[in-house]
Amino acid sequence: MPTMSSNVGGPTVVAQATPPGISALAIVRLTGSKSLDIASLLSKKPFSSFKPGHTLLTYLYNSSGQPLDQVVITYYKAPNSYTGEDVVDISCHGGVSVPKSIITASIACGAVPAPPGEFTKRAFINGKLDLSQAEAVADIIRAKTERSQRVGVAALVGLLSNEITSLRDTLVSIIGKMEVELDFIDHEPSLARPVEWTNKLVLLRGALSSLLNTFSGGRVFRDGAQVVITGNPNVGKSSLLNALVKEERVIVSGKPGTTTDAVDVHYDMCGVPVSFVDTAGIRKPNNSIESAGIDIAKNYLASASLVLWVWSVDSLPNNINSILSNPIFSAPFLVVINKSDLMHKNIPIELSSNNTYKHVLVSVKSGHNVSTLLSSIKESLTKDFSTDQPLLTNKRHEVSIGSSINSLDCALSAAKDGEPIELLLSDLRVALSHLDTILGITTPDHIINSVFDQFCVGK
Amino acid sequence: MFHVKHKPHKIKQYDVIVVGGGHAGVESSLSASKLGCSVALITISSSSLARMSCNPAIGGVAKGHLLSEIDALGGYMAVATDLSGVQFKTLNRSKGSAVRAPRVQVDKRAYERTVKAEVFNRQNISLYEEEVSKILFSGDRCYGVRLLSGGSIYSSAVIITCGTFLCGVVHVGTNMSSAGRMGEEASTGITGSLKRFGIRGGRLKTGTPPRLKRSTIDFSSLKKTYGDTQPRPTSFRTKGFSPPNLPSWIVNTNNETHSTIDRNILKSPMYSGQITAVGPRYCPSIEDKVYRFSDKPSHRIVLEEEWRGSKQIYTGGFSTSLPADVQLAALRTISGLERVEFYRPGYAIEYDFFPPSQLKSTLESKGCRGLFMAGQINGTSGYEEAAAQGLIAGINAAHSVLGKSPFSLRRDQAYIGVLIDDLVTKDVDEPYRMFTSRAEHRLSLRTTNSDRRLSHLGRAVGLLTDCDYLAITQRQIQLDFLLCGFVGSGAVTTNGVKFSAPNNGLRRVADGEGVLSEKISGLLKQVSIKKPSVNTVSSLVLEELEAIIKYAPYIRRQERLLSRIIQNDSLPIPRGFKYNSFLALSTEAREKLSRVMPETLGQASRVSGVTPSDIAALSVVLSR
Repeated sequence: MPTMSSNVGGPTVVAQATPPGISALAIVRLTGSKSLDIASLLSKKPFSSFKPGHTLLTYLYNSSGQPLDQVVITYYKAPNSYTGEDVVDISCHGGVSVPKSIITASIACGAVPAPPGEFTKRAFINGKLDLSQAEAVADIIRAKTERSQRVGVAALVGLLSNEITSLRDTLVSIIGKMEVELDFIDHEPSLARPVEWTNKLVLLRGALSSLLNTFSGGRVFRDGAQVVITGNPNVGKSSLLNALVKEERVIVSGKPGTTTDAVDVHYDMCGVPVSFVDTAGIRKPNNSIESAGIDIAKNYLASASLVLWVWSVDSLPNNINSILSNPIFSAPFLVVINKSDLMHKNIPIELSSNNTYKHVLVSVKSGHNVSTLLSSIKESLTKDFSTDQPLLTNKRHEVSIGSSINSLDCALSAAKDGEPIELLLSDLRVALSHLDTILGITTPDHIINSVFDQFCVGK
Repeated sequence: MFHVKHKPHKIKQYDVIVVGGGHAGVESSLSASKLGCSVALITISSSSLARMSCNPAIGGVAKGHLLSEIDALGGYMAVATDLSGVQFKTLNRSKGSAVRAPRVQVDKRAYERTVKAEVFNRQNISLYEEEVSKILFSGDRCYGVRLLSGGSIYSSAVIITCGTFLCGVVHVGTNMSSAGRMGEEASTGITGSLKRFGIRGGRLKTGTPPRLKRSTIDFSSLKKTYGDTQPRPTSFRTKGFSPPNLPSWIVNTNNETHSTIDRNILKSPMYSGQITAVGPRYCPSIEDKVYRFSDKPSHRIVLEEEWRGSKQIYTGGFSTSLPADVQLAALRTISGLERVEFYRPGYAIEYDFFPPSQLKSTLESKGCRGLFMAGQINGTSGYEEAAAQGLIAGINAAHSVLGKSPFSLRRDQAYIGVLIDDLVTKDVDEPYRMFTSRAEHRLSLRTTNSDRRLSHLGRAVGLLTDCDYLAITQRQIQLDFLLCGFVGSGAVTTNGVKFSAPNNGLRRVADGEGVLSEKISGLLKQVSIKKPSVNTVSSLVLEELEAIIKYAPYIRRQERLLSRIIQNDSLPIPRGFKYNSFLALSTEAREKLSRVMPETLGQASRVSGVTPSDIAALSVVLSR
């Protein structure tokens, strides 16, 4: 393999670099040694018209000479590009057909369709990104709002990895102290204080599990929160959805449910990507079609980040507190009492005087308190975290930290049973390896060094 | 009895030349000789063959593991230890079986005598009492050595095991002298030869404590310590074992000792800057202990006889290079040592070593065919580490001569595998000593199962005779009977756990460990052996049985982690891979990997400075 740097990349690939769908502009990206050849063929312009880092306004043509689009081409020369190879970015008009026609024409000129993640993989192979940066890039690409992007960027600059590094160092130091007990017993009397280790391990476990708990919050930023509207029929669920939509005015997309009663609407709610789902009212089904709708509603409720449980002032049951204390879903919920314009009907004393369930009184019809409800929703979704703290957003990281905690638990339970140190250490090393897979570090040398730096040992 | 060659007058040709007669040199010579090679063993002084130059003990945690592995492969060290031991102890008794290990205080003179007799008895080992002035190279191979006295010896393989003798500089306080160990001359020609050939060298430092005059110690006030009352032999082959159990004595340093050392610390060459080489952190000098751990009010020192009835007493834990008068003043502050005098003071020695990342896992040089290195010249510390390397180098030198395939052990097979893999992948920047914490497969690598792990390899190589092998496998057969539930119920382990049999649960555990090997089953058919009764099952077997059962769930939990390591170890990297043009690697990784040239992806992952990101990139490219 004499010329690694040029061989590792493989063939020149092409793909749309912007998300598919309706948009004003799209970018088609070519990377690989033949990028410039293909750009030259498509534009019928000589190589010399492409200058690294400069843009070129030109038409592109397919192989039969028909013009495809007027585009702006930017050329990045290897290694000063995202992938480290020759890259050509073609800014064309958006939509489905234009980018697709440019990709088809590129393939006719010798490019190969890029598999998912290929650009980032090449950037990684060519030393442009390290592994955790590559993961953060994937998070940014998937980020649905600007604030989500900030969480991704924070991972890029190492907020999370600083936190994990410090927890890992604590673990290494505990392991080091325990190893001394095994390896250096020739002459020096025992340094063992098992209680000290277990106390430290319990503290470490606590810190890891706090970090783990940020995952749901982190996930809200990355994947978005799902707010499910439920309640009895005719309490105004659909009207509530419409009122919320109207108030926020930032519809990303909206589509009525086709096969179900559920309606799914996406918002950017001050940086939190939120999707509202309107479900069928849950009641005893009258027929099988309605029953299917109710099953779907139950599925939505099961995966909800937050439930808006809607009631109507004019039909509040007297035993509402006992109903609220026994929901059919596990997600946190807000009680919404609609039709405040009908306030002459009395709210049951029970609910109004009791703070157990947070409730918001709204009138969808008059718009009364709808903005208050939006603030409550936002507060409920984001109360557990802030973007200044490390947030766990990556599923792989969540799994690793979870596994690490499991291994710590094994060690702690072995310690409780009075098992010998080498067995505790076996689980602690597994715990350590899970943290290491997040950070991308290995080697027992760290443990050895920790041992020597702290202790007086000798023969 | 044997022939020492002083003046070779004609061309001498051997299969293997071994330079140096320490613990590495002896195991090298014996193993190559047992595999049928003619061996020239060259040592400056035949009287110092197999000399224990530092502490009068063999084994210890991790070192004892190496010892039992050397034994299971057919090496000699454990046999000699059993024949010369005067105090046998199993360390880490309070911990689990994986970290328990034998430590034996030996009679140094008896040990040397025993090993010498074994060497002299080998007809195909010729002993030369000579100094090597030059190693002979031709192209990329090594073909012999030139002797200082004139003349040359030729061979297909040369094993260099000259310990701390290369450009040795001794420091006692600010006094320096050029020497090997005390009273012996340093060899200098080998370093020059190796460096001219292009092998990189470096400097390391180690130390040894003072030796005291027995008659000047007041033993009446000292606390005695003894070995185990039921001693266990260190060799699987030892029979009829009833060794002596002699005492050693414990003394403790105090505030006055520490202030005496503290006042004079700048007179230590390590602190004055006179020694620039790196010494081991885990065998710190007493001045190091006092300086770095000033909050500790006392350090323990163990006084040991160097041989039975010796007038010379070893001070374990008091390694130092302070001036002799300061050493003496410090020792005299200790209760029982008020009037103590030296046979000789403690000293530090600086010596040449050759970073072992220049070797393959057979311990043959990557750049020079036929050149092997073993022992302290590879930057290790300790008798057992040296002997283990000597054994592997001896086998591979013989295999290269005989045209057989290379022999090496994996990290999951043996501490010896860990030792050599660490040496050939890591930067040795201080003398390397074995620890159990270096072995990620620690729970599986027990002294009680070295026989199961390695003796079939020892036999396959040809170091263990069938007779030895059958003796060793007796215990394995007992264990298999137990594991298969052949023994009637009521077997009781050392800590009182009763097994009932037949027991399917037990059997499953055993299969999971892969212990019921076909080899053993086959052997059972060949040799008709009576089922052991509970009474005749040895405590060692029961201990091993307990370990298998107890460790099984823990080993299972580690499996995923460890299987990834094994997987990487089986992915070879093509020879001559061009790291420098592979830009995905960090600059440091490119530089380190180009220098070390690892043989597998697993080795690459253990090269210091190489990150998992680098390994991920490499694995992508290697699998394309």
